[in-house]
Amino acid sequence: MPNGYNGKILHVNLTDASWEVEEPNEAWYRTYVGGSALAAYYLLKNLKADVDPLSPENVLVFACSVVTGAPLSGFSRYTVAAKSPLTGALGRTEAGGYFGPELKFAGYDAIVVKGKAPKPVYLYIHDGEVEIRDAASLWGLDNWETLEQIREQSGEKMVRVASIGPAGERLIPYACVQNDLEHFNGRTGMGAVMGSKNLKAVAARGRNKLEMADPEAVKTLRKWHNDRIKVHPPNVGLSKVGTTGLIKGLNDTGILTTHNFRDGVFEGADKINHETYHKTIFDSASTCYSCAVRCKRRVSLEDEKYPLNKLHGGAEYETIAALGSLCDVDNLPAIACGNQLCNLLGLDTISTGGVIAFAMECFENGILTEADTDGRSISFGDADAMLWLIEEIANRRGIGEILSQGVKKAAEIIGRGAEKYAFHIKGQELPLHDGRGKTGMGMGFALSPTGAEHVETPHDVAFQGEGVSKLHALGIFDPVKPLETNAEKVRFFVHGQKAWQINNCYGICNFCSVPIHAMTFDKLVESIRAITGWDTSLFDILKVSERGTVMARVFNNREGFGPDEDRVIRRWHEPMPDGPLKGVSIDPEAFKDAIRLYYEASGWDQNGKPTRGKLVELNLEWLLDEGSR
Amino acid sequence: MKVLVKHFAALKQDADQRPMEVDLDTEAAVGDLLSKLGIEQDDIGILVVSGKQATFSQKLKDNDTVTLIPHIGGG
Repeated sequence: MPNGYNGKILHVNLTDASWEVEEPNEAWYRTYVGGSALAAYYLLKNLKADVDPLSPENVLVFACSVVTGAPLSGFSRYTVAAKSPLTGALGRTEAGGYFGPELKFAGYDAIVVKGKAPKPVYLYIHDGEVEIRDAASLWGLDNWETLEQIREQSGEKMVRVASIGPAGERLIPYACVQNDLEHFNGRTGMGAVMGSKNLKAVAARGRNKLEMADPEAVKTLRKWHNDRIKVHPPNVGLSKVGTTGLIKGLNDTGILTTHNFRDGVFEGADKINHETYHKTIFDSASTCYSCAVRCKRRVSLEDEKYPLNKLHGGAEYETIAALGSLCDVDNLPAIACGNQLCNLLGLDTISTGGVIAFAMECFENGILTEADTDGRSISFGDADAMLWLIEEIANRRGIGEILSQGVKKAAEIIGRGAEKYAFHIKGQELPLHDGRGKTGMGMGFALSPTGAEHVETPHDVAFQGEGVSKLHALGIFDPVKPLETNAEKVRFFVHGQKAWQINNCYGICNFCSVPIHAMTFDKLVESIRAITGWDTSLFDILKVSERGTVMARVFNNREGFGPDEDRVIRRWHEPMPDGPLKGVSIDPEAFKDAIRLYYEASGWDQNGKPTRGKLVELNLEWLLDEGSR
Repeated sequence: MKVLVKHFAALKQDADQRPMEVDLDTEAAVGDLLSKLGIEQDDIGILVVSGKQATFSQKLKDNDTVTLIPHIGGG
């Protein structure tokens, strides 16, 4: 048996309720390793271009990696991928928690789901066994009820469940997949793809221990990593306040996304920052499998209007900003309540916040009126309007039916100039970061194959001054200047993106790993060696990361995406109206040049297509025909 | 002893160009420096001392350069 992984990929066809197991060889595993790279492999192999994302022809992949489930902090993540109903491009989204490791313990490294079940089902995978179970009694339930039911039906209290809520069943293109109530494959509408296949959940339970190639070395690395987590400043902060600390940091630096991405400073920031959070709604810290960081928050509040239950996970930075500053809402219990509602119903909080802020700005400008909203005002700053809109969207009711389609399609339906306020990239609403204050992150938003995405590349700001020492292992020595868009920035992005994508391919949490957090490049290589027994290197793992990016690009190229879609939003080309970055914008021509330079530096042609030479270099000759489409 | 502090809290001020010299007692640690500057440890995301990753308890030396960057990324 291999070390660190099972050597088994489960293929399920829901149409005829059949399944089979594939056992790829070691060279294959070393080439595609897991997560986003492994998922892209199966999508490219099994999907033709132009397939309707909500048809049975779409293919859905749950992908752990060869190291998921190893007993090291952050080695818990898995990817869910399919063609996205939100963007029509590659859909892909990672989550931590316990589901990924449990799937490995249950005997499989990944699941490839095809077809559509004739009626609602869920997959129950336990100790190598696979059951396609009837989910009639689960359909219509929220994520909490679903988890409880599956626990009861399986008789396994520790069963780990990745499920969808009513939003996924209703095919809302930004419905998410959730595991164990607190962890989310939030983006690109993978919940809707599950819904379209009548797949309510995937449940896993396993008692297999993963064999480590060198158990003693893994133990030593675990101790080193966890000791460092206790003193390494970014991890100290995460352990103490989770990601909520970002509200203050970003507001102070003038890049807290506010008023539908118009502003960088939020007047109510103090009311939603980490201090207020921990004084008013914080209940306890929580974590993912085997992780010493404990960045997850739980919140509770006995309040008639905004009751909070600690079982549902506390809002993290992205959600606080999405439902908070982006909508000018400074009522933290209401924001946390919105988070809880989205989690129960199965909506991605980032897209949901983006859609609500869009609707509020349309309302502000008379494009939407009370005639469109059942006579209800939906002004910026109205916390109860924000909560009302979440319910309307999840139920696809009234204005919610239009908004449930995401800002791009909603603007097309509304017309009347609404597209002016519809902020998306490739059809996906933006995570809560302002590219004007970190242009490398802006490049990441523009170039991410999934549309606007914040886990594409590290944030420039961390590598200013001597902060650049975190990138020395990659050969980057010039301090990064967050506001500049030039050749130096492209070099930072090319290498930074590869470093970041290591984490998405190997299923490792950015909050534990390179380049910012406690894991270092050399110890990461040692860890992968100790787990798998492979003679690997930083060179090797960076090539895996690049392979994942190139496969994703080929997928999008064949769906018709090109340089025109590698862009940022109008507002980032307009001067920041106020705050420390007043007057700052991204020069459109300089940005276009940077994207073109990225193509060249990456071995892509001017149409953004990876060249024949690049495909050959990455052992992707099998994509030569696909790549030239 | 004297240390040089580069604090990137306000990006546009380009603090990189205007480092601040701070007088400290011998044997002072990074934590002491932050107290003197009135900066909460919770607000620091990235901390580098003379080119190397550092901790809040690390002792400083004369002429060290301390780079402080707030929490600004992730999600």
